[in-house]
Amino acid sequence: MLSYRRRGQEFATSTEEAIGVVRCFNSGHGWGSATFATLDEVRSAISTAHEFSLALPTRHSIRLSELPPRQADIPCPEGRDPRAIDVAIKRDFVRRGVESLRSVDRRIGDVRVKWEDQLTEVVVVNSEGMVLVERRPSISMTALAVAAESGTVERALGSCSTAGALHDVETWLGGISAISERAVAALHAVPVIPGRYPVVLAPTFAGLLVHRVIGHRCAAGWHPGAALLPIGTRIGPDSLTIGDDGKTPGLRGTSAFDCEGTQPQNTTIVQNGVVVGHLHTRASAGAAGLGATGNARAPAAGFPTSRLTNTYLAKGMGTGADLIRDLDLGVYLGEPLSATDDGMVTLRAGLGRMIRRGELAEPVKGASLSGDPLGLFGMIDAVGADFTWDTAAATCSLGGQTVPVGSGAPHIRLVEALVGDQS
Amino acid sequence: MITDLLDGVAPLVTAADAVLKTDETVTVSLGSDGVGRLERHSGMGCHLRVLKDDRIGMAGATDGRWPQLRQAALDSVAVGPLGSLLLPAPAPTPSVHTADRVALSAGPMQLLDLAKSVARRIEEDRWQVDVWAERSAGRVEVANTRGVVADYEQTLVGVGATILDTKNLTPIPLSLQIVGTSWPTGLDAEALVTTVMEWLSPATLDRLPSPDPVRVCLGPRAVRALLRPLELGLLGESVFDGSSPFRDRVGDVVVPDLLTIVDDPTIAHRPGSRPIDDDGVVSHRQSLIDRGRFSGWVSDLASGARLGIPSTGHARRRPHTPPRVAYSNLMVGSGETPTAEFLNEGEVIVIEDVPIPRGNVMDGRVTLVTPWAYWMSEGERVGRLRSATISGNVYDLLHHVVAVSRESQWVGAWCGPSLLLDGIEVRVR
Repeated sequence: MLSYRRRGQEFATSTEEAIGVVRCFNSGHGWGSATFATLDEVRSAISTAHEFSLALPTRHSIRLSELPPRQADIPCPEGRDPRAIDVAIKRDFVRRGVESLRSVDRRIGDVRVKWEDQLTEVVVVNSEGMVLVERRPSISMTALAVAAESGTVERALGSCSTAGALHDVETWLGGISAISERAVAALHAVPVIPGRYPVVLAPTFAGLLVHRVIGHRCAAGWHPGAALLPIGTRIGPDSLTIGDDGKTPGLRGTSAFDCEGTQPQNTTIVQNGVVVGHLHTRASAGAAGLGATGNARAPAAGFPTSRLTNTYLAKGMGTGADLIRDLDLGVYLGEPLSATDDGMVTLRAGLGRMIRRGELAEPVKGASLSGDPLGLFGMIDAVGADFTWDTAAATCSLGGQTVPVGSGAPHIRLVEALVGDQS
Repeated sequence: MITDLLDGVAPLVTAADAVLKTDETVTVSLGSDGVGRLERHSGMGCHLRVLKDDRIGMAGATDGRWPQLRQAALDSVAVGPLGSLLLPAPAPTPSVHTADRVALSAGPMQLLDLAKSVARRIEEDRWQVDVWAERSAGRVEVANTRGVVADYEQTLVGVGATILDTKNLTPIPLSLQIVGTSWPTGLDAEALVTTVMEWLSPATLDRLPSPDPVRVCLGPRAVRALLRPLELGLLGESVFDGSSPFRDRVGDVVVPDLLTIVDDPTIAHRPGSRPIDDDGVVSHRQSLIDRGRFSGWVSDLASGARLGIPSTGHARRRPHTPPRVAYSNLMVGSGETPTAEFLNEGEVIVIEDVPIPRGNVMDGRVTLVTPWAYWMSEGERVGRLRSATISGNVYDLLHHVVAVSRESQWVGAWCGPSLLLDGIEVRVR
């Protein structure tokens, strides 16, 4: 990990981490699990996990969905091992990022650029004969630009993530100055006037909304005790098709197998506006009498639960410009900053634009999109064809467990949504 | 053991320091689906930092292989930043209670009993209840090449519940927990159960009892969310790089004088309690806001060196991340008015909890949305609002505080009172 700020380099550090976890259940009992740091400790961890399981009688027996055992050893894709990249090249990437951010405007003050790469070797074995090994490379860069003028301070953020492909980082670096441009533009952006507007969401914003509201509610591990959206629930118009795709190469949530050894798949969870599927671990699938979907995920030593991988809203018709063209007045939200979902969903936007007479007009800041979670999807009246996967270094945190995720969507339009002002 | 690590690297560098943390955590979870989990997580992590040829290098490891860790730290010097590392000299550390004997000796069965006792008291037909209990016991060792060698034991115990009211039209999970270094007493567990009942029992209001403007009482959890921008603005790094609204304002009145904030790692038995920080700087109470005046900030050795200011002893180091500045026990001063007095007069909207605003909200702009808001009339909880939203700038909102409660409540490593606000807009449903 390398980090630079305006004043110069902040730090350079490296970490070697080794951790494993054994989990175990006995018929009529619950799950026991124990971690280990070295192979010498595995036998003791198995014994502890076994004892812990026996200590927990359960009302319902755990049933795992069937999974044929297989063996595979998947090497790091050729040319993608970040350890082979000379550290001078990594430092050069970061310095170029800092220079590009600073060169945009004299009002850019502090900037920060961070490089982080890792190679993770994941091994999954089970008592049914599964033995899987995969080496997963990852490179991410994050950038922050701070613009200041006459006491007003504005920030903009950006990031990219790739499965070890240096040219992806190079491409992102080529457009990094847009982050500074957003920070500068925000200096003179006006606060949005709160109210109900037609709202057009950029693909990154739409992707976050889909992940947060529909994806979470269709993954069996999203909240303890929380009910999943029932199969057959209509969430919006026929133009909505939503899925979770853990197998498309190069995305943040992609892997050859999940924490239980199941091969991730492309699972449709909403078809033509109606919920048609859920995302499962072997245990949640077993309880539902279904097959696992390859969504058992957890950080290194966590307990796998059903989590999203790369969630997407499939493309519809038209471009972003098409969605804007017939609006006399509306709001365009292009940069999601954060999302909360606690009965009401609120997504906070960075820089946005007003839409006037069918065109993007003056920049606005401090806008937020709020509403009843499913109600927001009922407001969607157009889905664009300009689908893109977001390449940002996104993560999803639930119950203290953070996993990398991807999202993808085209532009979408909400016919009348509540836009708030946080400025 | 940590001294072995430093002894091996000391002859090769100008200065070095390290922190070693070992920990065993046992967690029991009782699921509403009738399936339980009992987990043990044991691990260690070490972070080593070295100064050589005026460059700083660092590395972390979780496997105890010291030669490899030393080499990784020395290798990172070559690409590390130019800088200094003004390590603290040995100094007497305060006596701080960081571990509890009962918690140290508690095994999985005691945790299971604790979780079951809470689950039994919350169980109701219309609720899905998930309960967890967790005990962590560990040791922190800190040392540097100037001669600092310190260690302390640490325990942390938590018990919590997530409840889903399945009869509610839009089920909203309620998550509550208590966390401290000591084994929870019966009263602690009872307080958790009482809070669950108070929050979930009132029926949802179909319409507001009164259209008139009312006062708003923010409970301690909601106050914590409201003050998040101040937490970010009081980081020394923000103050001195100019991104904090408190830049160049030491001694100025920056918020209303009802507000006092301190950070205190030396108080006993709280999650952030410690005698020494991860840089080896001795812990002390740090005043941040004193009756509305900006009186101090928090920093660690690294940010202090970059900015030319001393460390306040707020370093947190883990093996897989660079050092960062972190509060220990952050405390907002209480006032003089009993909370009951807030609530017993007229109509009051009580906001119990709000999600902590995420991202950089240092400029104070926040939108706080919560389903945990209640209409109170003459001290009676009339019903729960579907949602309540406060939007605005925290620094403006604080000028509407008319009273601070006498009682305070701990929420993890944060402690604070309730606030009564008048004249603010709350959008409710």
